[in-house]
Amino acid sequence: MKKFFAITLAALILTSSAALAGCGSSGDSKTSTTTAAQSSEAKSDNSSKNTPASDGAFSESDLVAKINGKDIELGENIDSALAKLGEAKNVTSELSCRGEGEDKTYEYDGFNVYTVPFDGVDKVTAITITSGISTPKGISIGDTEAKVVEKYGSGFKKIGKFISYSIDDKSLQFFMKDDKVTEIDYNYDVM
Amino acid sequence: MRAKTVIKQSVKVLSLFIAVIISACVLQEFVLCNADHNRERIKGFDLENKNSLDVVFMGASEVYSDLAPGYAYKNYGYTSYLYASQASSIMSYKFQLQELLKKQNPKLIVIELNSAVYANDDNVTKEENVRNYVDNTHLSFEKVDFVNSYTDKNRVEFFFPIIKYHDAWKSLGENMGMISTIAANRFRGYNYLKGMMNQTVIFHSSQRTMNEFLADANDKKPLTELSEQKLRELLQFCKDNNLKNVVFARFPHIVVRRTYDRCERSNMVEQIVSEYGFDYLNFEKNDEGISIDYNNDFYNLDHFNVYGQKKFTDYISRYIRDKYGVTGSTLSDSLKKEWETASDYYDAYYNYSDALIRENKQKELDESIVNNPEFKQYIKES
Repeated sequence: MKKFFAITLAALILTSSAALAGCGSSGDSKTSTTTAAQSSEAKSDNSSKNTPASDGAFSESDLVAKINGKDIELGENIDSALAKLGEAKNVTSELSCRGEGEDKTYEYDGFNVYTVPFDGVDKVTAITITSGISTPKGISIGDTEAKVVEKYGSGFKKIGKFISYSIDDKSLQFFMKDDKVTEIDYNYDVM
Repeated sequence: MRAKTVIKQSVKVLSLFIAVIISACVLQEFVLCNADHNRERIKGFDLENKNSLDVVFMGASEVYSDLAPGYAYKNYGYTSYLYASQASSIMSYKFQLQELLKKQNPKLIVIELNSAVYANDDNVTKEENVRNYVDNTHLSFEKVDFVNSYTDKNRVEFFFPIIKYHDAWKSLGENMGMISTIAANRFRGYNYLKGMMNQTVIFHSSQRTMNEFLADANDKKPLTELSEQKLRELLQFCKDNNLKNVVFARFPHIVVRRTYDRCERSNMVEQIVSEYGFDYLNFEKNDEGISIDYNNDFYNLDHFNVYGQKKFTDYISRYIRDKYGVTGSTLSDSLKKEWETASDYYDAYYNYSDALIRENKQKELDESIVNNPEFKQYIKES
């Protein structure tokens, strides 16, 4: 019986030592394995991608917000955006729907910036304008649907009360109430 | 004499070898592993008595935050389990269903398919997401098949996770709560919360919600190629195995513009699921009977807090009873006792969560909370 315990103890020490011995050489145990799926699907051919409006009125440049004269892009690192926008009035956060980290909302006068973490880096995934700021093509709160269509073309989709223009996974929407724009949203579909 | 010595030596060597293997298994199982809420939940499922569950809910975090098995048992009589992992990937759903069917033959299996509507393949192929489930399963032919189809690198780390988590001893202190919880569950033979996990927060969306438009939103957006392929493989498996007790679902979310496209992909999922002859229960789109308060019932865009969890458990329990005839089974005395205890723990969980929310104290509550002295004050024995 004593021998059995001695053997078990020796085994436990041996196993633990073997386990610990690997630590120095392997570095971070969180390896970034490239999966077979990843190699073949590195960039998914998502056939949902929309094309710019056929009349050419809406283009990728329309997906960049201009706030206080500074370009803010969807997918931009928040640090870069904050350097242009300055400190937010208020920042709120909640557990991210993407798993690790937090989704954050940066509140400013007249607009909000939303971020989602990508491998530890917060990126801008939405910008909502509620007052005082126009799109680069001059649409602002209070403008009519006719003016929106005049500036951005007829290649839009209506979702509820939103008029939505999109290219790939990014979009620009205008929330309409009584034929007036009451909110402008830039969105990046990453969820 | 010489032969005797050789035999004696051989026995010693063999004993040492066996002891090393056993020690490695014990370490891999309890210590040198990723001891988190996913592991506790998946391991907890393995502890359930064979064929003792009336319903199994499978999927990602929506499943373990949106439903309460203890509450469902107390009020509707059926036993259930939340067989889910964080940000789970559609890649592993067929394998997960195979594992589920080895242990249980429920009256109903509800598979939540949020993992099929991700915008891109990052979340689908992300190793951490896959590992949240796969690392907590035993070595089996099905696991080997899955891993071989998933990756061609470091496969051995999936088969023997101790290799990947060999340095988990460094965080032994911070993981000790969950390690001891998992060990206690094993010793007891079941867990109390049946997979539940939630946050003590009331979420207020600062972005305009779109849920009111969803009933009329019928446009479809294609899934990523990989998601569709894996979804179809899962459906084909269900069809080939004539699984009549499987339904698919989409649970409610707060939908804002930046998450709206998932709804259109969900419409596409519905079309694909129906091609294979299965039901798709879209509770996100058809939410009128749930009485959701979108300003009070979520802890973030995608997950109910305990208030929403209770409402949704009520709703889905009535729904599966009325549509699929799911009611409780006759339980042995020991199982009855176990489920009554689970029900008591749910009550404590709800009341403790409610108190924390009222005090504005944000906390993540998983099974390890049962060891918290503050929580224990809320437990009333049956």
